Amino acid sequence: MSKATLIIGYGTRSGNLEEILETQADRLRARGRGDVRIAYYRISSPSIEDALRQMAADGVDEVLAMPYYIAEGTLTHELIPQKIGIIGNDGMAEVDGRRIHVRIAPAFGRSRALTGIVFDRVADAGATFDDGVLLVGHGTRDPTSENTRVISMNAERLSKAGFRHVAHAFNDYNEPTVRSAMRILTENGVGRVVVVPMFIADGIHLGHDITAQLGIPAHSAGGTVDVSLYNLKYVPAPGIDDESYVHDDRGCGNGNLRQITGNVQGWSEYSGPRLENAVEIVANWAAKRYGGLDGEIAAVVTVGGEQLRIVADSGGVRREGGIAANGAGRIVFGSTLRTFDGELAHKMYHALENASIGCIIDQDLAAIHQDSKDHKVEIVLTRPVGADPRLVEIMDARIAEFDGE
Amino acid sequence: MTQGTLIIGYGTRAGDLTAILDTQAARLRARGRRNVRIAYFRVSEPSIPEALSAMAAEGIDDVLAVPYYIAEGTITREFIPGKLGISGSAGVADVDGRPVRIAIAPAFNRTRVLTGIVFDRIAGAGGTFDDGILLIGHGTRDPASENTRVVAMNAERVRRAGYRRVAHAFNEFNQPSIRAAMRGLAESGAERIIVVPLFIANGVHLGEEVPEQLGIPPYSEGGTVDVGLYEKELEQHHHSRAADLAATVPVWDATALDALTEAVRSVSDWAAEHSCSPVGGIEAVVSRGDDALAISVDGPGSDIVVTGSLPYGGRAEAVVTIPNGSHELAHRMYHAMDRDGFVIHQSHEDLHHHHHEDPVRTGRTVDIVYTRPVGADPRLLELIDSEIAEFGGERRPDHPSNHIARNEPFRSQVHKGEQ
Repeated sequence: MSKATLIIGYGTRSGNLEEILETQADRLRARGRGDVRIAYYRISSPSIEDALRQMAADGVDEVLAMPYYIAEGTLTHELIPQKIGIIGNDGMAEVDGRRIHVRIAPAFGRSRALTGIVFDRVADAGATFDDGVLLVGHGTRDPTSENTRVISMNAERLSKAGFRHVAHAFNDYNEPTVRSAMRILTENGVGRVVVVPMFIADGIHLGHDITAQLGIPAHSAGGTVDVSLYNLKYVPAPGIDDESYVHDDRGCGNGNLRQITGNVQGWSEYSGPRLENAVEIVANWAAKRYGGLDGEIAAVVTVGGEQLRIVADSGGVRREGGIAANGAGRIVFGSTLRTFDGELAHKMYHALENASIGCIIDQDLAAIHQDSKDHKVEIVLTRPVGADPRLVEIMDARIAEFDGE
Repeated sequence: MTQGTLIIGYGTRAGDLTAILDTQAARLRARGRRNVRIAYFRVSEPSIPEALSAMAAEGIDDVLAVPYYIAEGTITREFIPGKLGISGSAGVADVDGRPVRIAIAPAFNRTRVLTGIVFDRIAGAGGTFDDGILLIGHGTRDPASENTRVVAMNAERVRRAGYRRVAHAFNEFNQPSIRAAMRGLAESGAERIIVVPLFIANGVHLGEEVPEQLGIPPYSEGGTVDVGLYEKELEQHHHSRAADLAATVPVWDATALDALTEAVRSVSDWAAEHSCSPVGGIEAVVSRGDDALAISVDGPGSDIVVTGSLPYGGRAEAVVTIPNGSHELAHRMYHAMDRDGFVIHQSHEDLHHHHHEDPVRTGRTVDIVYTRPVGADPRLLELIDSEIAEFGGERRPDHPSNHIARNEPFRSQVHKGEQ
């Protein structure tokens, strides 16, 4: 019996995946993990088939295959087993007339090691809890892929640790897009965003696609970007797998409307907590911006003769009255802060718009939008996660288990 | 109770320890660990008592102290508890009249994490199983210290992984010496030796002392050395004798007085911590013409006494005497004064009585790859994160948007060293 480990990467034309896997394989070999080899799903060599043939020729008859992937999906569940010649994650492959027992380890997935790396990227970028943090995933069309769940779960872990402005986005295929996530972060008043790509290695996605969506130079580690960039909405032209961008026609002028009004379409039991959350977001933001609240921020909703008032001031957020009925009504969202300015009006507008209470705002955003020409955001794009030694420790533990240690 | 974590480093004058601990603390804060502070056993600031006072003043009354040390020893078991105001590894300290509960976590010691880092250093240097591997430890005179065992155990783990030529050595105090270990590796046929220091951070030990013993340039990452160098031991650490250092003080002023006083104090403290006995007093006499001032300390732990007077301004001459001191102390004093701008009349070579003048040239060389210390590795930080979790430290449990005005930035800590 001769055992070997096969690390399987996706493959790359121009990135540093191969270098990363060589380094990680060397680290495993340094631990005395004997026969450690590398193969690629596509493009890079050796291919999985070639690596298996070589192992068969070398007399290897037991293989632990480890997909070096962020998340499980059809690739790891089906396509890699297919190339190996087994079904599922454990089976006998027939290679050039020899039988090789292959077991396939899971991708990194929900491992806390990935979260630890994300935390360190954020800390090493010098982030504070008030900075924005954007996790970017690959995205997928594969309904079985864990990619979106792994990304959003890591974003949730960041929020739980205390970061106030956490978002996640996908380079391709899934919502939210990088631009829309950046739009929301910057509309929340964030001046600095640390972007952590949950990718294994550098390549076209990180070097070109994501940097382009962020508005920073290709292959750069960040830059300063005018936030109006993120008002560009991504519209795929019908039937064409190409990208074209149209400008969202939000004019930006000066104006300080103290009060926003609107029609509420379908008030329900869920609307109250959502509106309360929106008021709280604005109040938190204002308290931070102005060093406290020197007045009130209040939302007043009237539906069928009942009224709900949600008021935030220096004492916190409180609800007065209540609405039992469902249906249409009116809302007034205003502020008595002495420190009121266009930025707060802007913030209130977007908070109400994003509150998911079906509100059609009477005012045009152009009427209250602060001139955004000088509204910039600083972006720090951190390195992908694949080279981290903690991922070696995960593989080392799996090999130990495989070896029966 | 309000919890906090106090990471305790040894302290450094010239090394990168503070940058490393700042980075690791920021990484813990990013994980939502609250009230993470740093203190130093000596030299660097804040000191342990200063940090503890500041924590108590903020209302923190339940502290997990984490000695950021390779190995347990008298420093972690007695001196650090002493400075924290407790005895043993847990207790309640009276800090400025407030009771503060303190628990002390163990040093890294035998954890496999250190071994994982060692393996990665070897892999990063492109090591093969035929290369020589030399693990270097600090060494200790402390019989309670685990340092020698931790270093030897890691060497054994490296050996078991398949490396055929593995040795370990100590910078000071213990055998094998670096030169003896290098000699053994060269004799075993190693042509390339990867040296992995089991040290937390860069500093004088790793920057100057170890390279000197290896025969590579100070603060370098390696070099090619004739193995004849290893046939003779460096004498510096093995003889006790009286030592006088003479130096010129270019401008005698308050700064020079403070620097010289601090040098005397630090060497005396070092002697106390390292039980360098027998040790007499240390005296530094600075003179110009008929005026003279003496800075003296009778023995470890005694107060510094300044007698006589010397007006500020102009040059002065200094003579430092360590009557019954070991050569190590003279060496320490040399570096302490050298850093502070005194022009020392002896050369570093004089001090060591090196045999550099005629190393045996054999014509056979080894390539040395000298790798970085281990302290900056993120795996060490994951260990501390688990210690805090076990201690009961919760991550911020409440969603931050529930609170209007909470602001706990930690950026200032991260980039402190770069500003």
